[in-house]
Amino acid sequence: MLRRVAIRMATGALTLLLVTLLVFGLIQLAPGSPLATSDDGLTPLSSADREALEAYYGFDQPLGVQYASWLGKLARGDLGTSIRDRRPVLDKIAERLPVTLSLNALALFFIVGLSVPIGAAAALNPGSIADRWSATATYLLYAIPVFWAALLLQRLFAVRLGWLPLYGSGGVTGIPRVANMVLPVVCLTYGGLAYVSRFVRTNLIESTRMETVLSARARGLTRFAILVRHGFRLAAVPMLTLAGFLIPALFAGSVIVETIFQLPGLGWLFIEAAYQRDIPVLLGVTLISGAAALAGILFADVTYALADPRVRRG
Amino acid sequence: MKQDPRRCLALVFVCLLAACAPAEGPPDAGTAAAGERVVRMHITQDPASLSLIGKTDLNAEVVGIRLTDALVQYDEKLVIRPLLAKSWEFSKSGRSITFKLRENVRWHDGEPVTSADVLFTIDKLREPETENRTWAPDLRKLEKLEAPDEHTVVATYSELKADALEAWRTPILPAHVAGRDEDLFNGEFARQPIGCGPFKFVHYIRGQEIVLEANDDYWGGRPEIDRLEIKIFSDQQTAYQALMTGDLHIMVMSANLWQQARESEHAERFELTSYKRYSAWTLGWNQKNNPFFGDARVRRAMVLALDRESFIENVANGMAHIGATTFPPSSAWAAPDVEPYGYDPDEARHLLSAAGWVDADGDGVRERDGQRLAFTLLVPVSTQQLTQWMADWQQQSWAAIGAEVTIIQLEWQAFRERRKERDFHVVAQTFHFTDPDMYVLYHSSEMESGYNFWSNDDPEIDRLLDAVRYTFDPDQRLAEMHRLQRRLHEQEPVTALFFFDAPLIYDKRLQGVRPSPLGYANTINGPRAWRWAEEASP
Repeated sequence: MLRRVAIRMATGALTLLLVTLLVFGLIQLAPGSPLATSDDGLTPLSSADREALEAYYGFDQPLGVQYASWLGKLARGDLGTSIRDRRPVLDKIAERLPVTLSLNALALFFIVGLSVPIGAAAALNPGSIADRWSATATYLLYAIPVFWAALLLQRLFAVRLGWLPLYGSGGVTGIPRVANMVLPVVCLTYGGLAYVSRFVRTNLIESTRMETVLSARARGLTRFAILVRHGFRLAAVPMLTLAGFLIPALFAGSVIVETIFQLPGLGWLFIEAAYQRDIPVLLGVTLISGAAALAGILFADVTYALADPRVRRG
Repeated sequence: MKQDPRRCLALVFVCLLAACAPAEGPPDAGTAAAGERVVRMHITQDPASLSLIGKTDLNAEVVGIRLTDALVQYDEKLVIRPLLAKSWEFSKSGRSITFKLRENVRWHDGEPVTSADVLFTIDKLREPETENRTWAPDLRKLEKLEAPDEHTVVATYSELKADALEAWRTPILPAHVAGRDEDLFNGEFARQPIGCGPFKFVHYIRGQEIVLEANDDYWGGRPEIDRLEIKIFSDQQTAYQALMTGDLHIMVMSANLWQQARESEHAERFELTSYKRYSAWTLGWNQKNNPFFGDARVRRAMVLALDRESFIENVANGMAHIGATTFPPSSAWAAPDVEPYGYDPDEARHLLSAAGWVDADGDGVRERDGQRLAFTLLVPVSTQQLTQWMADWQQQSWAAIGAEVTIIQLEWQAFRERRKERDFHVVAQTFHFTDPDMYVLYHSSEMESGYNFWSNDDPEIDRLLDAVRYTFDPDQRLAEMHRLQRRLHEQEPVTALFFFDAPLIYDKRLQGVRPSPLGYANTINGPRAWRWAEEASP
């Protein structure tokens, strides 16, 4: 078991490195330079100034050397310095990580927490009104674009009713306030309900077709009792895997949500860095979010193994 | 072991709860004390540094101009006014300026402001690591800066331009504080900047706000408001919503949002206005790499084919003005006798035929020597729908006179790259002007690496550009500008299609808002002159 985990972690680390190499390469291929200003005034940089700056930031080095020096610093736990504001990338990520983490953790919690009862209700009587309506409702939600939903929610709850804050994290520390998180979490949650609740339903129905369950029915147990006693246990394994895979998807979604609600998280940082071609920040955020995604998958694997003895021993 | 999965789930659950537990941080420092007169405005991005001169952009400028004074500053009409310098004099030789500094001006920590501070600031500003792009380029020709006494500064140039004073809008830093930092960009000073301006620094929360308070001892008089909160909103929609909830008191927005605000139930709470900007939406015609636009008749024909008046009325909510040249029509520099080209498709067709472009095969597209009149229009991608509408409108209008246009829309950085390589036929873009010196746009010496992307090469235009740049007598200079505009209008190397107005909206009780072409906060007055109407409780 431990060996499996170790191997998974090693391949994960390798994947991460490849991802950063890919990001580094893609930024180089993209037109534009981090030294270009975003304004369109009429004061171009003189070539002497440009050369001085390229030397200052190390852009005069060959690309291979630039990437290698980034790796070298990484090995010492240094993610480099942002080109935009020249602050350590690690500091920039550290001050924004709590927002993204709490946003995603809450969204994951609510997606799973809501999808399981919805899926179970649907699985209780496949083809029933509850089944069909829950499918329709969750698919409708799935079809609503986030930026539009966010705008409507802002209008209703923040502007018209004034119940919830409109934007920002509300605190002076990195960790956001609960009220500030309500709308962003709703936006990040609703789209996942359709997929996960259908997944839960399918797995429950499948598991209730197994022989143990058939015999349970033969013993005279009610459908509900069967679902609770056997169905969930059997369906738990694939559901855990799914939760692990949800993490990367949520992270991608939080880029949009953070920007709309002006939540100072990693997603917003990433967007800004992309516009400014701030290579060290882009690499840093890729590394951290990639690590989170891989950790999610690893977590799914391990819990899978813990939940299913066949995998554990195998 | 049977219990394991459940235990595991329980653990996950606990972790999740822990992650979402509310944080009881220190009390929100953004909340103003009762009775304080607070105004909240916004910028779109965290400044790269609060060093006031490091890597400055419009956002940093808005903060800097509040915290500290420059030697001179624009007023609302973009006329240079004295600030730290009470007077200045151009030398007879025409190569130096002598500034007399105001006495009795003090930094926020009580130390006096002297000429040594000016010397320190300009030294720092010109270091490449400061990456100043706002003022440093204009100081390249500055040869020597001396301080004969505590309140005199003499600037000697290798070449002095008529607009030389503009660069002296650079904010002045206290040498005794900022000079202590090894690294000005992110040092102690940039964390707690000190100036001699009308507002003092209170705090800065990244991604959220920069808060300033009135300087009771400001030499020009204390501001009427007590506190200025500069919020950071990168998303315009969210900023607009914040305006509706009162979290923001003033903002410039797109014409669409402005229209929406006017029709909203909150409309009566706001002053809805607009101001004229010196920003032109332009078309640059590449005269070198194609058989079309080397001929001024073809360039003029393209302009005559565009019904700009109806576009303004029907699409731009009436919030734009037609330009005759890149000299803003609302500015004091505009030549009154240079009228924009009107809408005259027949004349356009006639000009194209005269230039040899005829549709002989009847396919709707003109040709000459077997070459079809088919070209590309390079446009930057914008969040503003208007950019797309303009490109479509041009494509249709030009099709009507027998030209086939392909629109190439590129992300901003990619767009810049293509433009820099001169790899386009027609390029559309916005230009902001703060002065009438348009040398870099049109001078033949700027063809290779400057902003003359269109390879404009006209000796007469070169001569007039030089005259505008180096004529110091205001009347004579204006006459040269007018001559330049006449020539530009004939040649049409760049078409200033529209000068868009900036839709401005602010809380009705806020008084003293006087926008300039640069915005509502980038001039000598701005928030310093704002005040709340009696009994207003923001």
